[in-house]
Amino acid sequence: MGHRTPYGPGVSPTGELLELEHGPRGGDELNLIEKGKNYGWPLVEYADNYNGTPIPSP
Amino acid sequence: MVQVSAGVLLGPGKRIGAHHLRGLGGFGIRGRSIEEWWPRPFAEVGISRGRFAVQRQAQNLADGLVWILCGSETLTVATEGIDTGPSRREGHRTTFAVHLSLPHQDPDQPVGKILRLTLDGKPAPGNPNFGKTGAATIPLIDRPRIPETAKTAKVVSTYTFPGPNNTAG
Repeated sequence: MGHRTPYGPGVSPTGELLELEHGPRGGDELNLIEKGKNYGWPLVEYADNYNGTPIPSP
Repeated sequence: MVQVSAGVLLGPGKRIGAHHLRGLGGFGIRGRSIEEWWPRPFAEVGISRGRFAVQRQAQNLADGLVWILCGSETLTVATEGIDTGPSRREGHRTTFAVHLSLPHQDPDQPVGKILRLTLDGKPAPGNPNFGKTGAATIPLIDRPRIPETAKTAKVVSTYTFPGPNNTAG
């Protein structure tokens, strides 16, 4: 859970699921998807909201 | 599951124009209002989209599973082990995008989740919460300006799943 705007999923030759994510300002992500993990949004991000409001970092 | 995910993303009573749709190449509805194609409640529109996408790709599935990526602005259908033909982009196909926002951390809702399903819409074996079902009815809020306001946003309506809420599994 915790995905903001996931795009472009793909499965690597070795079977891992990879995903691109359109994040808030300065926070686009390339993620290795693992079972049951929390990817943060909207509680924590390495970025800020587009209106400048800060978001706590992980 | 495909039905439930799309329905919740669209939300009952929400209007969606064609300018909110992205990545529809190959599905033949670019530039048209989604209501023109399925003049039914939006939850059912989502059902149709999900089924359509899954059926088109079923023959290419290596193990019969589908990934559904659900965000506040997108619903993306992907496949495992897709056979990439010359006209396909590798490994994924975006079905549509909407501009709504719902709590991403609520385990009862598909938004913000990546779901792994069987073609008949059930949670796939091996999922962390395989077989678990979520709340039958969930709250919906209007799109918040920033995530902080979503935490205390007023519930404007509710959505009741037409069947078991498999998004938790």
